[in-house]
Amino acid sequence: MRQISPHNTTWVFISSSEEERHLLDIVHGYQTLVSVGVDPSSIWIFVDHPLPDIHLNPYGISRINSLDDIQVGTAEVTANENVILIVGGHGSHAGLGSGHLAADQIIKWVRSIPDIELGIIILTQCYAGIFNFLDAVKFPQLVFIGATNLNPSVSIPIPPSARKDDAC
Amino acid sequence: MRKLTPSEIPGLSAKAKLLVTAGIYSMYTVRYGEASFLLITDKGQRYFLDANGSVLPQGYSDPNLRSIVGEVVILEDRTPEFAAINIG
Repeated sequence: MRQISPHNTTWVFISSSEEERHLLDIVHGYQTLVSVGVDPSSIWIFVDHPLPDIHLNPYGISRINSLDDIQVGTAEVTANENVILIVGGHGSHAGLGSGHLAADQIIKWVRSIPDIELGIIILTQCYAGIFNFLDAVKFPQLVFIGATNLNPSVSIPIPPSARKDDAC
Repeated sequence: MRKLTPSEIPGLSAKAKLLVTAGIYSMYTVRYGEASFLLITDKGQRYFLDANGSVLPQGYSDPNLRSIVGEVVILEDRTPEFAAINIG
């Protein structure tokens, strides 16, 4: 049985979104991990928001990386035996966001992390089902937990009372 | 981080306020011309607003916003309807 502890695991949050709510999801995860003893140096954040530091700094998060680092293969994170990757923000049939980071790129990057023995990938974005047919068995093995299949996540329309006006 | 109540920016539409409150649109204080605020939609569209929240005609072509943006604006709205929104 493999144990996940604050000391043997690297935590990675990635998100493709220009919306504050998705950054606040990361804040919640970050603060929860720190509250149970995870060292902030074991938590990595990769986003493509245009102004992430302005949103995250007030919550004590200053180490913020660009999602492009994963796309071009220059993203380096702390080596650890377990890597837990939490994918947030938007997803599409083509990958994260509008598709500039594909599922196979993410998996290839996770598997390239030094010393990794197990990767757990938690998918909260729309169309997480694009990860369904990728090889999870070869070493290091990957565990996928998805909130969606090939469909959007739960979507409740904005109340009609708020739809009368245009966006601005 | 600057906290405002929706009534402090009467020029901004109810829908836009709702989306800012829900964290779908982002709003910032800015130092740029006559603008007091910058509104960025979930699609990345940018709108400069005056102190009342009304949209100004001025544009801004520079993709680097660092030099003009100050703080995040938090709209404090106690109505709960935004809590149900989860798109994409």
